[in-house]
Amino acid sequence: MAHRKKNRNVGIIGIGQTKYSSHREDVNQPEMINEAVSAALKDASLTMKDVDCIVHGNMELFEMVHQPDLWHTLGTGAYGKDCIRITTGGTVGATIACAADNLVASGMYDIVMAIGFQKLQEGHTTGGITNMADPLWFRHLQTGALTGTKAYDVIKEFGEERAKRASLMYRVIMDKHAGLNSNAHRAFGLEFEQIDDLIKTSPKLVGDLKLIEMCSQSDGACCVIFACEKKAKELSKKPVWVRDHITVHREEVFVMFGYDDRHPFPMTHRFAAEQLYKRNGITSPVDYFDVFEMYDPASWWAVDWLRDFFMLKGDEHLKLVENREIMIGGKIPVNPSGGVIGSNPIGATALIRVAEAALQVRGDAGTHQIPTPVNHALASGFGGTMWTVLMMLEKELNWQGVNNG
Amino acid sequence: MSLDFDRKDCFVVDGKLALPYTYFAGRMGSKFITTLRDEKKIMGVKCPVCNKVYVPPRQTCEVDMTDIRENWVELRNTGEVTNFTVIRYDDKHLPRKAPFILALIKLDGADSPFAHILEGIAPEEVKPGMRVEAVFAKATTSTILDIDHFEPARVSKVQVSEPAERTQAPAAAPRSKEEMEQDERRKAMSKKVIITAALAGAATMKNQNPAVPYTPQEFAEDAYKCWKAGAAMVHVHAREDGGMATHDHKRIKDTHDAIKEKCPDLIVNMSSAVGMGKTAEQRISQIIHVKPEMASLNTNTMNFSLVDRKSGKVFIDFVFENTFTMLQDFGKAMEEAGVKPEMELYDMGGLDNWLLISKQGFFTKPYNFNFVWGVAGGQAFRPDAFMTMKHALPEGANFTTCGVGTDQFPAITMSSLAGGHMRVGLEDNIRIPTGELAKGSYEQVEWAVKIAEIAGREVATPDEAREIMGLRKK
Amino acid sequence: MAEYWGIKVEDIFNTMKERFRPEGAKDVSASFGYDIKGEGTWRLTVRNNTMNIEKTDDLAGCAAIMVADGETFVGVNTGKVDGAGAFTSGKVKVEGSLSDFGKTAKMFRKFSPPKKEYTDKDYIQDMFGTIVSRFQPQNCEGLDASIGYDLRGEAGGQWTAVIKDGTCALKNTIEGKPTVRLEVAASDWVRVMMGKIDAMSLLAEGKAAIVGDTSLALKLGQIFAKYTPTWAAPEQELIMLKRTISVNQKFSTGPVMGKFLNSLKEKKIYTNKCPKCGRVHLPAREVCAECRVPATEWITVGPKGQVRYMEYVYYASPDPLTGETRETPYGMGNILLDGCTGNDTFAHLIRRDQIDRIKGGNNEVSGTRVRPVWNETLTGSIHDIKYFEIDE
Repeated sequence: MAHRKKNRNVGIIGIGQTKYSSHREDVNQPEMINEAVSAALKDASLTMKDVDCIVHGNMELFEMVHQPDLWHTLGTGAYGKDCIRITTGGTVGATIACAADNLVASGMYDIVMAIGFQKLQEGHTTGGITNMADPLWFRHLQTGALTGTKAYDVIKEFGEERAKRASLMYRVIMDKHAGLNSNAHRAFGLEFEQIDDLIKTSPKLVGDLKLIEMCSQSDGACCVIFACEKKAKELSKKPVWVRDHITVHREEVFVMFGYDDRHPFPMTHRFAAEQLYKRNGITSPVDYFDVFEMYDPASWWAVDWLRDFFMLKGDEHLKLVENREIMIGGKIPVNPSGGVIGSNPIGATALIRVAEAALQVRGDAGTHQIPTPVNHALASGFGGTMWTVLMMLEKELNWQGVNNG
Repeated sequence: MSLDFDRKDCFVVDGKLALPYTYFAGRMGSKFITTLRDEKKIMGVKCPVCNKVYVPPRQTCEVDMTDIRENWVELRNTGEVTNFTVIRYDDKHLPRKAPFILALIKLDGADSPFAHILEGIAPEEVKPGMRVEAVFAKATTSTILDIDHFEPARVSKVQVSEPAERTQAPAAAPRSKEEMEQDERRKAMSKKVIITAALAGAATMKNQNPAVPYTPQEFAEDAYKCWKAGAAMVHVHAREDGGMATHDHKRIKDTHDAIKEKCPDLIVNMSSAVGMGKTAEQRISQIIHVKPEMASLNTNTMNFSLVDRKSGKVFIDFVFENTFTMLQDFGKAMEEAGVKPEMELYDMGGLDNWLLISKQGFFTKPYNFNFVWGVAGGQAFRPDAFMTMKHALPEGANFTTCGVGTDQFPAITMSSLAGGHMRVGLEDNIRIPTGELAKGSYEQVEWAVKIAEIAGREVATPDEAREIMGLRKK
Repeated sequence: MAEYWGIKVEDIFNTMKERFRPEGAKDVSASFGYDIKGEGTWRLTVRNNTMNIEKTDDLAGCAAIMVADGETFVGVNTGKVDGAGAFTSGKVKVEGSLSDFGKTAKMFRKFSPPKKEYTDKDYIQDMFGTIVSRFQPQNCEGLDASIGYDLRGEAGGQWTAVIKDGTCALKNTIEGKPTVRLEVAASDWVRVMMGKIDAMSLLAEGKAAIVGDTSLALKLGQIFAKYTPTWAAPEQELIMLKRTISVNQKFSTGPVMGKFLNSLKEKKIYTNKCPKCGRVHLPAREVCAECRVPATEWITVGPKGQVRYMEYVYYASPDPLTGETRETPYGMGNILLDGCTGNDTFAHLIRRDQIDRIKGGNNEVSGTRVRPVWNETLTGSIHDIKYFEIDE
């Protein structure tokens, strides 16, 4: 696969997040965005004057606002500056991070601010998502981001009891992580002892996907500031370097559930991971990475995707979950922030993965900081129906020897 | 190579997109809308860095990203059309049947244009620059349509004559560039007329006119109504709950602060006379305590009595003491405290007294005088006396005027024609020109606005009044 | 009876009658149970726009029963606990029909706690409870000091606010000699804080004393934001604009989808095949997404087939065409039509009364066999097929 070399290195020098919550009636959209922008500028000790370009992103149709970038100028600070709006579905937060990286790496701008936001309370998320389906033959059936197919797959492969327990185990771990993150929208205080009860009592949404397993619907915004190597070193004591990122796309997969194992069904997650690790010379991602901030829309998907992203075989991914190796303090902590299940302002969600991964590398994640050193971090983005973005972050600028061309 | 298909298979399907959504206005937007809806007031926010006033309000100044969410300012319901368009098609999302006018309106006191519907005028007659005012909706919807529309302002500027120009020759003495520039700005504003409302005085009581304010709250409400009607300044004697004039610092400060809190924009001018029988110390110390932007400075010792004008009988014989020493000490104290004195001239002698003391050099320019007519002990209003007083003023001085009882409206009419300013209010007169009791000082302000219109004078905003009188906003 | 935020579980039930909104109970004729752990069970009966609530152990025949603990129940009813979160995390459970229970939400006005007379003690507790949050670090740069509050009288007590490095900590005692010590009756201090009297006159009357650094005491107004009782904080009305956006659209079928849809008018399912990999797309499309070559050959498939997977949908999402909520549960089948291979299934609704009988299939085992049920009028739309039903 063709891959361009970076024209220059890019570092993350500022991170700002709002508190994520279900109700932000107290602020309108630009006001909420401004909270994240102000926090990121403060984090980077910059003012808007220092920012060259703004990349703004959210999901379409979710707040029913046309040209949100225009009326958000009051919050983004884009007055008199280059501002680019990007929307790519669930991946949008990751896409704006990639775009910001590209814009700086190319030499077009020295400092670029990526802003992702969503106010899910203002619109109808599921209603909005249904509009991605073809109006002529599938829109009338579409159920937004809810599907029971992944639960069906995992149950089919590993049996009902083990599968359901793994999904809930993942869910409880995320809740425990969210409990450590003061920005998280939902932290219920779930205990491992509740797993059996929740399997029985949590209301079902679609198939075996239960309410407790699905991500939240949150309001919030995230802002990440990217700078060229020279500026990053001048301005920041602890820049986090963007090593590489990859985006993989494929045709829609609304109905490709034939369960015919004679027809292999290439998945973008595994495909993206393979490409990315190959060109960066990484053979064992579980060992290489110190933390993974994964876009986990529901615990079923999360459990299954660990196998794809870490290129695992058989039930290795289930064991990671069952043995709580994905907890803070485990072998490969996943989502110390509490993940998407904890907070999900969709247009910001994938950018929050990058932001949280960068905070871990910096050692600034506070109460949900991993105790061991974090030198290499991975962040993922996911969008319907099957679109993957992966971004690799590094503490040191020392991989140039590796052939990543 | 492509698929074998027939174009006759192509057709068009009618579809529909229907999605529920909820827009959250946030704290700023909600306050804007609820104030509009419940109080019929249009609020904006002012950026303290670039001084721009935005309406509708916003959390940040888009130019410098300053957080401006607490800096609320109230705007008038009037403004100027800066641009407009005519909507000539009908659509279900539009607020009116076509054709209707959508205008950009710069509200008085605002810097950002405000889009709204303009009615009561044919599209071909709309001109940028025309004055308009808001008409509030009777049935409210908690949206921007709680202003139903704007329409041409009822009080529009009528140019009947060129306003009076200053008659004095340019000064011979050398002056600094800064001073000359300041003078130029003031001169440019000479078309503007400052309306002051003297809300209560020391002696007008509720049994004469129930609208006389006593409590700080009543003063604030009254001041607010006057400001809405067009007053740039209020003149205040604080009262006790029972109506007695008071020299109590706390009560005076409470009264002053209540007015400022209700309308921060308004200039408050406090009395240094307070009321009958107060000592010199009582009269000046409260001014220094409260530090209003302006205060009255009385220029001569005189009879100041309550009499029956028909029979000539004296009810209360009182000497209003304003010795040279007091004129000097009060004047100095005010200037030092940054309180601009307004010199009260009850007759020509008072002006001469002030001219004498002013030789000491502590009074700062521009000087501001008030001609007071009709006090039993002072002089009655006579047009030729008025002009004589005006001509005797120092060069570049401002003057306003007030008259007791029936002298009120003739005197302010004269002043508006002669290039001076106007003071009305229940302190001076409890009635309006029709002879009916005034509903409040604000009703007299409304009359003064009409007089200004006839005289071809524009009414000054508080900030313009500050510029003219040389005040610093507090 | 335990109290939560000063409110008993019974208070919520006892006020139901006065909070009842008949207009929200139209067309509802059912009983609902409340099982509040450790508190008891209640039965709500709604019929003919009237209601009755009784504490009873008999919950037989209830359409739905809400199960929660007392704290959660009071919390949700008073807004102290997020209802959606409590439900998601299982702190609130609903046994029986969830959609029926949802109807109770519209039947009652919000519970508002009864007005309370606040005592000096309440004020003092509230004042010190909020003192840390009222601290203004921006006005206290470099300030290293302690402020002792020695409040006498029944409502009184001793507190020390310790200010250092831009933070404020509160201790419930006075130790040693604070930088400044305020001595005043608690009732007077409440009056000062509420703006009823000024501190200067208290000092002048000898009813209060400042020991230590007087200048610090004079700066209290800058060190702490003005106190307003938490119960008096006026809730700002926040404007929310609810709308449904509804726009008309037009979709062009293009020739390939057009042919597919037109064929439905003949009760046939037409699609096409990739010449390279042999994949049969469904619905038809011009290019094979895998091989990126035009798919040139038209074939007829189905109309019968087997269900490979069915989404059993419990969640009521809005129909994007109308904005109306769809009725649940319903089944959306991925049907491998006869003549199709691999993963290219056809998606459609399954007859509602048969969804519980559907089984999925794979290479080894066939799923439930289904056939389309056609509409009487055929218009060339995917809705020409009403749904699929079991082919028996």
